[in-house]
Amino acid sequence: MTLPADFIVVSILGPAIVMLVFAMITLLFAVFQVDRSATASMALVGVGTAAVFALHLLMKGQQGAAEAGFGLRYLGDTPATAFTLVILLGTALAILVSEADLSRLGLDHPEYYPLMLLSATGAIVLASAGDLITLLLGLEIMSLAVYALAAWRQGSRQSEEAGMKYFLLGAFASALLIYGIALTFGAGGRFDYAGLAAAFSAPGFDAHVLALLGAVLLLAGLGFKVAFAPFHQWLPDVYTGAPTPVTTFMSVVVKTAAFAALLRIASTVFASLGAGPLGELLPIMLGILIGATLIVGNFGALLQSGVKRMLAYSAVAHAGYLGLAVLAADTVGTNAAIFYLTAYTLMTAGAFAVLSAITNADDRGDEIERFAGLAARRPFLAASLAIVLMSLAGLPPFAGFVGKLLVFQAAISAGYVALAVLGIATSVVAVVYYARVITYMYFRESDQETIRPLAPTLRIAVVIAVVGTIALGILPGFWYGLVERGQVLLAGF
Amino acid sequence: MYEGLLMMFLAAGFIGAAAIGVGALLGPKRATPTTLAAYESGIPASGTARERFPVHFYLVAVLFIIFDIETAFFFPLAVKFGAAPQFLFAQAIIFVGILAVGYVYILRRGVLRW
Repeated sequence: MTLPADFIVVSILGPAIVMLVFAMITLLFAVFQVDRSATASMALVGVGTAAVFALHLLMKGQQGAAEAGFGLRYLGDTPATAFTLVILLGTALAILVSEADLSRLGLDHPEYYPLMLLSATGAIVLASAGDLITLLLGLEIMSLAVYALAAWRQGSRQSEEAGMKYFLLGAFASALLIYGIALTFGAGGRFDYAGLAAAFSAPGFDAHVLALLGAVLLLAGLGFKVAFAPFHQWLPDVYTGAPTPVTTFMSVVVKTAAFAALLRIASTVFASLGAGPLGELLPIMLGILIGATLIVGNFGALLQSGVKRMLAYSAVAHAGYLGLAVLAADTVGTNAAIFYLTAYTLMTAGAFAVLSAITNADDRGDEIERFAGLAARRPFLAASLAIVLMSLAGLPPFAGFVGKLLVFQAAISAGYVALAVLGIATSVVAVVYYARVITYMYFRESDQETIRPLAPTLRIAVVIAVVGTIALGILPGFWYGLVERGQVLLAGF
Repeated sequence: MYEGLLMMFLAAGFIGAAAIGVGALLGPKRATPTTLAAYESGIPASGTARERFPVHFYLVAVLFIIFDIETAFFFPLAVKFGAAPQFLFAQAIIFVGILAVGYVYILRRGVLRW
């Protein structure tokens, strides 16, 4: 049965539309003072519905796109829908973490869940964008909501500083990105990635310098969002200052969406520039950024005494590993990145969920001493944190190991052996700072105050994260096969 | 390709320069305290403008812009309405619907209450 064209368009836009509708429903719930946990449930129902739409698209392996005038395209292909699913998973985990902590931390304002859903809508649009205008639209919808969420704790100087810093640097990054869009449009005369790639590799093309400048500015603008060094400076302060539930959301959803956009641009626009006379410059720049990110992220994390800040630097380090996939984006890199980001979402959300359970009443108390003897006091939390941290460090048999394997494989197959070796070397450094927390939990005596009982939603979030981390590590083909070939592979790759 | 735009910029610059220049050349110049005062809708100026304003002014200004954009959005829609009536009507309804949710929100949150 062939479906009418309009229906295909609607089904491609489905996840984003569902999220938008539920953002409005939760907003109405919130202003008419419906019970907060009902609002949270409604938000989760929205995320679930959108996930059903996205999963349907992914299983069909539909390659269509919704098109508007001026070459604007909204994509519904496998990377777009897979990234949408990862974003929805991250949003669901962030909602579960939030629900446990909102009233305790004084964050319980009615706009919280609507903003989170709107931000996730923007993230989905960003991940599905097939042209530079849709990209900008998605990026701004996502970012504006997160700026407000980062400053959510009223009266907390740290949180206000985080929001302000994030807003100012985000606006700066947007300006760079918009300038890049203008120059790229000037060089190629198109907005859609496919059209730009065709224009850049056409025989008579001669605006190489303009196209390269545009590409560099696009890379810098998106580099801010994904936190490539030296554009990572905002990240440790913002992640540390923002309330932990919001940090959970930012670290998984915003990162996934920004990487989805970067991978898409790298596999089309950047790849088509590669054949031109200045083509070798762009991969060199990207390579330098990635090398710097790997070193700064991993050694920065090594020097932190607060666990939240350590996780923030580890987010920078993981941007470096994902960067390796961006270098190979036009071949196997995108699939590797999808898998890596899925694993990263599960383990990072798991780590922040446990952190959220351990921090004290005013969302502070993330010093490593607080984790001393946790294994004796709270074995479930300690074991969960140990598993997600080992996965973040890339130890088998957890998901992080498979993710790292895939991105190193992608980088080596694209000819970036030196960067892959640097990645493996810095992974060894990473083991040190993750293992330090585990050492404190299992081999130190506790002299700390007792930790409050675990909220039920937080327990669910931790269980999902841990089970997902283990399952993706043992049966990676389950998800990777779906992403790569549209089918579930039961063993190996 | 962009000659028209260039002409428009030139014309705009010319009109602006002419309006100020002709006045400066030909206008009578009488320096009394009244003519030298800053023009503020005809009302005598009092005090400095660098004060703290209630945040309400800002909210109302933002609301004004939002509903102003709504109107601006409808002009091109009205011009092209004949091209695809059902589609554009649905689009307008969805747009107004989203704004209506926002309107209910600001009403309930007391933004317009003074």
